[in-house]
Amino acid sequence: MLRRRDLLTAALGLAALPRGLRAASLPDRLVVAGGALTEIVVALGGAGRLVGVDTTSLYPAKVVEPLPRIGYIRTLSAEGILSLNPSFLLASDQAGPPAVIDQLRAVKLPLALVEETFAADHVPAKVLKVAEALGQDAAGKALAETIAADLASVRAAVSGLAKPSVLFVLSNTGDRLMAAGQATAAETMIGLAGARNAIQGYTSYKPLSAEAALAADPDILVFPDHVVTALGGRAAIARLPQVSVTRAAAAGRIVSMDSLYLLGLGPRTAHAAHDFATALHPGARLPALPARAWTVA
Amino acid sequence: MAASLAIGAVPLSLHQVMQALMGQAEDARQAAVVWQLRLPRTLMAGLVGAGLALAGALTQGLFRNPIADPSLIGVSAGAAVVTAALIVFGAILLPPGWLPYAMPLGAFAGSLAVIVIVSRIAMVEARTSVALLLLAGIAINALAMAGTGLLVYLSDDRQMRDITFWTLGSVGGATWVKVAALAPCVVLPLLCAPWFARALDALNLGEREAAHLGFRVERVKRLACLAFALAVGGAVSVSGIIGFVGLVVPHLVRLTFGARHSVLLPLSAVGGATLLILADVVARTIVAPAELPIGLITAFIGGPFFLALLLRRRREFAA
Repeated sequence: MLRRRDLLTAALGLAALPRGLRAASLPDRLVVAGGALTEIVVALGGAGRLVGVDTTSLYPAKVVEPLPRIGYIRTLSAEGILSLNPSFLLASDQAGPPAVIDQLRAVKLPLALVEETFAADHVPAKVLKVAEALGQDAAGKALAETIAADLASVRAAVSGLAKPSVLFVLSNTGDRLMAAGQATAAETMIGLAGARNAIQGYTSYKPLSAEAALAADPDILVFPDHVVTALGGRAAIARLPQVSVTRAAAAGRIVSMDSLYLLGLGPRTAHAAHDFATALHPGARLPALPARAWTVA
Repeated sequence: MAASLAIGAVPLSLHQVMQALMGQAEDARQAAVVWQLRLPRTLMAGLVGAGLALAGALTQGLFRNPIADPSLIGVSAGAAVVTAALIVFGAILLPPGWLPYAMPLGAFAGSLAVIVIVSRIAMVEARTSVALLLLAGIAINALAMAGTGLLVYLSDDRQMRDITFWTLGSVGGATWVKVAALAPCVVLPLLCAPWFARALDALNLGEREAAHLGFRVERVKRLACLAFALAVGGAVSVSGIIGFVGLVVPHLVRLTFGARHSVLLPLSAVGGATLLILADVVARTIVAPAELPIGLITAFIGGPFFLALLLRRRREFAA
């Protein structure tokens, strides 16, 4: 009996320890800057606590659409955020400008900056960070483990398949196409889906020339849904001078997906990778991932 | 100024603002909003506006050219290219934490460098040729813009947005440190203004005439350039590029109060400060809780205003 009580006290003591790392009280008026972070907060059941989000927070639409917008993640305004009377600011480490983050620290708004990287395995780590800031460690651990397990299943499913080369076009300005290089969310997702990036030799997204496309000669072209619409459909894309010369265009292998879903690097990443892999490997039968609460909004 | 302190995204009454200023705020956050955000921001907007308008009036007088403004001779572009370079490469080149300090210093250095280069080029046989100054400025401008373009190409998505927003200007990042650094850059040239005023009036008659009237033209030109560099460099370094203030405000003052520099220089500074403080109130409230770049507001006010001015005075151009 005594022993059990001792254990209980010890457990309570341990649970109380990390309090200092968190907001003094559970944040009930939460402002979030960063699309993936907003998704995580909602997945952790925090939708009701949100009082404002930035313009990169677009999902789940039902939750974020009625909320006040604090502007683009890199051009936040200190007073704008404070006007929502928040008790906590959860922001990506990409949020800025730095001077505004300093101002918010100076007025003692409790805030947490969560590191964002392009690594897929960073997603569960991000979930843990958010959960810690919100004081929901247990729920966070469960969510992070589920996402990690789903990522592992996707990796296992594609591990035996041949890796097609993929050219990922992020956006178009008229008929100028921006193609994904290294250090991009697109490259991460291409890798997760059991393929390789056809474009090598530069980072970020850069305009694509016909010669570069020919040199890369991808098996598959990937376009976000909205770009396919903007360019007038797959047939029109296959005729674009920049890509018409590629194997992918000749074979009509043009895949399109919702870019927010595919590139968000939030809790839906494993499911997005699974759907992407299914589209990139049409012959293979990939085992379906279990539906999760945060992937069906 | 009162409006700028009283109006903002956080609703505070004038009474609450007064209480906060006197250190009697009911709530610590209210006091912080006034002391840490609105007051430095208002002061910075005022200083930047004063600096830009004063610099505009100085250049217009110096070049005897009504469309001269700091961006014309490449000063803003020089600051922009250094800032863009720091945005793109700063994280690799500098130890972490230095970038926020390096950016304003870099922008300041960039604008000074352009002025030094341009005025060196324009110096022929110990005399400064104003036409050469303008043309060299335009060349440097093109060069710096190309440099910025190259950096935009090299940048990633986030850096590109940072560069774009910097070129649209903002006084949102105002801190007391920045206000303190900026103040001498604007106040020193302003204090020198009465001394320049008569020489610039004389310069309006022509350089030789001014020299005959007993002004040391070369020294005036050099000092005016220095004052101008200080004001513009300071303003650009803390706020990015804010267009039209330097162009429109001196014109407005000239139309209403005449072209005498003893009146024009100080009133331009006052007018610039007022315009920018008001523009900032609009910038930070119109889309609250987000914020518009202030350069957009000044251009939206400045553009139509300038066109109206031209339409009214079209006759004079025909003559």
